[in-house]
Amino acid sequence: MFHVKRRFLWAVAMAPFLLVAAACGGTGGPDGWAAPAESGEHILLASGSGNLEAFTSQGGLVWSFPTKQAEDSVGEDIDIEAIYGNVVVADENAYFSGFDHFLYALDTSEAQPLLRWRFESDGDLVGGPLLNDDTIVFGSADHRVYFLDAETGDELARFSTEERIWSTPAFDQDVFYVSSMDSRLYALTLDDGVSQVWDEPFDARGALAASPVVDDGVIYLGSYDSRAYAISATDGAELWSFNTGNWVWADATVGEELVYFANLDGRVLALERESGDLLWDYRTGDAIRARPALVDDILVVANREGRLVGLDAENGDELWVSEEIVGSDVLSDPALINGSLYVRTEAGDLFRVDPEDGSAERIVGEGDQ
Amino acid sequence: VIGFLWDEVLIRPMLNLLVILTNIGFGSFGVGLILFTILTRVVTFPLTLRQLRATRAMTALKPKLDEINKKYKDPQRRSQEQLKLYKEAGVNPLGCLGPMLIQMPIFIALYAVVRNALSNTPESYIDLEAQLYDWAFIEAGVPLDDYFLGIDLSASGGIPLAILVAAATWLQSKTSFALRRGQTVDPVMAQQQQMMQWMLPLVFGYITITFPAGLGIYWLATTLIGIVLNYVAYGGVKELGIPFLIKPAAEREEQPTPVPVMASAPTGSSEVDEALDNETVSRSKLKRLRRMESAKRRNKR
Repeated sequence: MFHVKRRFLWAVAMAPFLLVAAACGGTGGPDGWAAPAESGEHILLASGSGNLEAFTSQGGLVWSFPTKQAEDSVGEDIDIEAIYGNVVVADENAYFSGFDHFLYALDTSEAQPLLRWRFESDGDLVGGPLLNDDTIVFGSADHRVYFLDAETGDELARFSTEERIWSTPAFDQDVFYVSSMDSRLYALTLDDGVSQVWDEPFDARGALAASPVVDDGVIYLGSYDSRAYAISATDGAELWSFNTGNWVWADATVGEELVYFANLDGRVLALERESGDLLWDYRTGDAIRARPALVDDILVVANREGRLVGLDAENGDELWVSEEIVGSDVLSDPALINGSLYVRTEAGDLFRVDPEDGSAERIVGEGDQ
Repeated sequence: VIGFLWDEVLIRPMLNLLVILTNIGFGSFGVGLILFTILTRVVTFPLTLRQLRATRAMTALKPKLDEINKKYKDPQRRSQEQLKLYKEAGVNPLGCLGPMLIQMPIFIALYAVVRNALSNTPESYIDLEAQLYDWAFIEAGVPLDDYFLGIDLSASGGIPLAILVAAATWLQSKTSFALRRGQTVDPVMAQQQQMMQWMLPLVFGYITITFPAGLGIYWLATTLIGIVLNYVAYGGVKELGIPFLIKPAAEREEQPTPVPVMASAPTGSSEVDEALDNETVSRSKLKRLRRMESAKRRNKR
């Protein structure tokens, strides 16, 4: 009995250490999945450690943010943690959202980026900002949509939803469209404050982490309820929906006649824009978070395990499969910059991919960062 | 294989169950955790009852154990005689550890579940999707609300929660040891119980501060249930009319020396079986019941 009790005491004493051991095998920290962005002659890339860096097209590092100037100007160290939302570049300014709750505005016209302003929300920023004229709009995990003056960073207005916002707003015909994890899509206008355009927000059956894509009066949007939706931009009515079989997180890619969705089963689907009928689908074998890229008639899809696939956008025929990046998680949208397709891995490496044959060339990585 | 079993038999079902309970609990993960705790307590109640009975049976053996301790000075021989006595009495000295041992893997698995379910990195949601069963009711529960009573369940538990957890753990140990006072078989054990009474609150207070607050909520809820069970089991709620699982010490002392009874095949006699089910029935009463049953059978013939 004595020995039994002693063993029990030992087990209790060991419990915290066992829990620490379990923690080591648990989920990791935020890595970010912002797509590469074009900034003049440079490519902006979110590094694996959460910095925003500028590279030449040959992979030479030009600058890295945060800079000492930025830290001095705010009077504290800056740790962005990760950058998820795609970076917006306009007039030599770059706007991006940090997982550290801040939206940053940089002047990139000089050799080193200058922090013009930053705005703090009460939650992590996962979706990217939208720039419309002089207004910056973004959603936060604090459930709110913020409208800021792009010049000064001053808050113009805010709108609350019932859950966190992980998506990037869309804009069309004076209306901002914001999807929220409360499963609703909101249509908002900014005049004297924020007002809703539709009688009721569109209500999907599951959380909305994907960003809305507006084209020709129709909003295309995927949901955690596994469905791909087409919604009228005019009144928020559902035009059609299609069950893809798993969560849809990737933003939709809109073509001439077809709209492409990808889900966390690794399935790519081509649906007719008009009817929502399935024209073809293709299985990549692992989850797809990155939005498929349409380059001419080729749909380039990157799944999480780093397998790149080139598909005939019309009929879904497999044109090529590239496994050169396999092993490096890919969750960022492939980006078309100066006619080349760039793919970022979760480690912050950058590859240039030829959409014709899938050949990939490492531009940044292997200790470059 | 162990990893597969750990994931598929424990983590995944537990995660999905928690999401279901969260949906039932009006979308609050905190309420889901409390419902999960109650469910866990209900499922492990037979073990808890066994623990209580094992403790009681050990108490019943105390005079004989004292005798053995006096009689045998050689530790090995003494240990052999103790084991012999346990065997004869049908008492499993490990019986009282069952619920505690069951709770440990649940607690550790819950840690992984809370981390998976409430981790706020977007990447973890892709992993979460892979863990969830493909049921609309479950998927409708995502994202999980990570706030409960103003506490961020995914963040480390703060000092106030840690103090609550430590206080509840101390109270549970205190009620457990105080209400069973006099049952402890040897002074070394009594000393260890004293030590545990202070060590456990510190350990679980530390865990609450260090790990996600959801874990602290679970431990707080399970501890509060434990305190209630202690009172129900050992006395203290007589006025509520709740039957004691264990008779109060004062009543036990008035009883004749009980005879621990091994689980046995039915005797065919309902009264004797009932008495045996009670486990601690006096030798004289057992004899009397058996005599009555024999007489009944003779009369029937």
